[in-house]
This record gives sequence, structure tokens and C-alpha cells, in this order.
Amino acid sequence: MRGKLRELMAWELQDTWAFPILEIVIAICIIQVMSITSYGAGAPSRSYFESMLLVIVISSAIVFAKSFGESIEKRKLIVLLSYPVSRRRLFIAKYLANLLVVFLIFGFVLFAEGVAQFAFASGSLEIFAWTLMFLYLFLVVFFASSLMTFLAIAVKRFGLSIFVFLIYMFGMEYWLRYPIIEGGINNPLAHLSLDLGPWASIDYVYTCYVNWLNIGIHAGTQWTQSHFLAALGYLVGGGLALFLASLFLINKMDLD
Amino acid sequence: MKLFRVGTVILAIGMSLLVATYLRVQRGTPGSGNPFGVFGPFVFEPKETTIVLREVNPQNATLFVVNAQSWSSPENLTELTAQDISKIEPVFTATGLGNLDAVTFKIQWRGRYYIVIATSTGEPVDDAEITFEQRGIPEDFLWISIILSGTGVVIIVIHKLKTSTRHD
Repeated sequence: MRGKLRELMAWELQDTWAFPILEIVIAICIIQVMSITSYGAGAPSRSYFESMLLVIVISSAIVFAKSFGESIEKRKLIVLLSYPVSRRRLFIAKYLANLLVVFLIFGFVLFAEGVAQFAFASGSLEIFAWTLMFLYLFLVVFFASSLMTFLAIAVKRFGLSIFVFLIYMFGMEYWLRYPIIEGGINNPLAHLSLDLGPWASIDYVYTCYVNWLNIGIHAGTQWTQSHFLAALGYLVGGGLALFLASLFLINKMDLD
Repeated sequence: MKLFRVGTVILAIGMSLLVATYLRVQRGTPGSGNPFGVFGPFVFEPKETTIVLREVNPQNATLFVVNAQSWSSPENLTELTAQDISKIEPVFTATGLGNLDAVTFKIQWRGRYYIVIATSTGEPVDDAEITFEQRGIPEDFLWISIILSGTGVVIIVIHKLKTSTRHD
């Protein structure tokens, strides 16, 4: 059973990440990060999420729209389902393969940034803070992937699903920027932003960790538990709900 | 096919790093300082660095650029002594500097550096203010991108040669 899933994932990788999709995503990532990072702060900073958000959103949009929207639109999914494979397994294989590759690419960029900080800057790394960075990167990728998958399956069109996804993602980022909503960044709603939310949560958890163990000196944080919970709840709860909704949709969908 | 894909991915990494390197050329890194004669640590890239001594008292000062891994300034800069300055192993030194003098040099390795201004006798200065700027190509990124692009091209060529031999 596991062998079949692996086979489906391998097929999905060959199909969705065919030349030059992978190369383009890697190139945009490197240009986006390497052209601005100063490699000097020692600790991870908001600049990673600020600079990578655009690339994460666009990559997820293209990859998941191609994997789900296009395969429904061009009836590839019907061909695949003519083989003895369940809809659920096919969905999981497609979703998992793309999620892991997107996370690996952005994780590699974050890892490269960490290595550069270690080598060129202080010679030491705040391991716990960097672990949180990887965790939140995964949650951001998970949320974006689940939302895009849901839209692609619901809309059943490659172009239209990308359009709706980009309007939602960038619309939210625009609306949540602090001068627009009441209370600015102190409003927990502002932490639904995929730029501010993860960074503020990392800062909050890291400050709690430092204070709890009473190690080192940390400047403290302006974020509260409600900010942290808003960001975490949105990413984990939203991502999970959208993933399950996508699974439900694909099981109930009339493909003919 | 797998070899070809590995080649194209490495080539993509190399070429995009080259573009990023070019974008970094445009970015100067301005900085300024405090009145105790110790500035930093700043992250310097291996490229041309210009330091302007806007103000120094007394004149005829000496400027040291020192790697933060080999020397660290006292936490309270008012406690800086001649003994601290004597421990400096500079990567660059300029002597006989006065107000509005500028020095340009090239950092060899990327890293965090202090800029220390001292009197000609190695004592801390009474007052100093600087600005600095980095311009040019960061050489480490340039070489890494060239090596990666070259490796990618070689792998693609090997793949092409292999497949053409197979066809013959």
C-alpha cells in the first residue's frame, strides 16, 4: 500500500515539477533572498517571511493549481482514476508530494541563510529560534497549499483558481497591514497576516522560552498570547480545515 | 534524464546567484558611529569599503579594521583602554588620519568587523565619528555562482555527449 503511494508521489513529482517549473521556483527563491539578506543579525528575522511570502504564494499557486485544477480541467484526473487507485490515496499522494517539495525548497533557502549566519556572523546560532522558523515556515506552506488545493478543486480551473487565490492572499495582506485595521498591529486580527503572524509568534515563543529558562538577555516582546494564538490558530486550524474540505470535495466531486 | 535535471538545477542555482550578486552590487551599506572610537561590529562583504572619518579628536589618528572573532570591544565603551587596543590584530590599518580623511580598502573575507579609531600612540580617542559604505561585486558570491554555473554546464554537456554516443 505504501509502495503504491510512493509510486503515485513519484509520478506526481515528474508531472508537476517537470522542467522548468522546479528551476524557476529555485531561481526566484535565490534571487529574492540572496539579493537582500545581510547575513549579520545572528538571529532569524522578519525579513525572511517578508521577502519569501511573495514567492511562497506564487509557487504554491502555480504548483497546486497545476496539480489539481489543471488535471481536473484537462481530464487527467479521470485517466488516473481509471487505474485501481482510490480518490483519497491519489489526493494524498498529489498533496503530500507537492507540499514536501515546496517546503524543501523554501526550507533549503532558510537553511542556507542559517549556515551563512553561522559562518559569516557570530559563529553561533540561536537554535531554538531557528527551529521555530522552520516550524512556522512549514505552517505557512501548509496553509497556502491547503487553501490553493481547496480552491483548485472547488473551481476546477487552473487560471481562475490562481486568480481567486492571489486576490485572497494579497487582499488579506493589504487589508491586515497595520494602518488599515483598528488597533494596528496590536489587533490580533493583524496576526492573520502571513508576514506579521509567524514572525510575531516566533518572537513571542522565543521570549517565553528565554524567560522561562532564564538564559541570556532578550529585549522582550510586545506580542501577547492572543496574538500568538491568532496566528497559530489561523495557520494550523485554517490549514487543517481546508485540507479536510479538499479531501471531502474530491471524494464527492462529479468528474464526468 | 536524471543527470540532465541535476545539471539544469545546479545551473539555475548558479545563474540566479549571479543575478543576486549583481543586485547586491547596487546596494551600498552606509553606517555611522559613536563617539568612543569603537564602531560595530558591522557585517562586511568582500568588496570595496570606504570609511570617511567625519570627525576625530585628537588629529593624527590611526584606524584599525578588526575581525570580531579575533577581538571584541568591552561592553562599556567608556572602559576602553590602551591595553584593549594593543590586543587588536587588524586586517587593515591606516595611520595619520584627521578630520574628513577617507580610506578605501578591500575586505578579503565576509564577516563581522569592528572599526576602531585610536591615537597615534595607541590610546583611545576623545571623540570620533565615521560613515562607511561598501560598493562593488561581493567576490565570494561571484565565485560560488561561477563554480555552480560551470558545474551545471559540465553536467549538461556530459549528459548530451552520453546520449549522442548512445544514439550513434
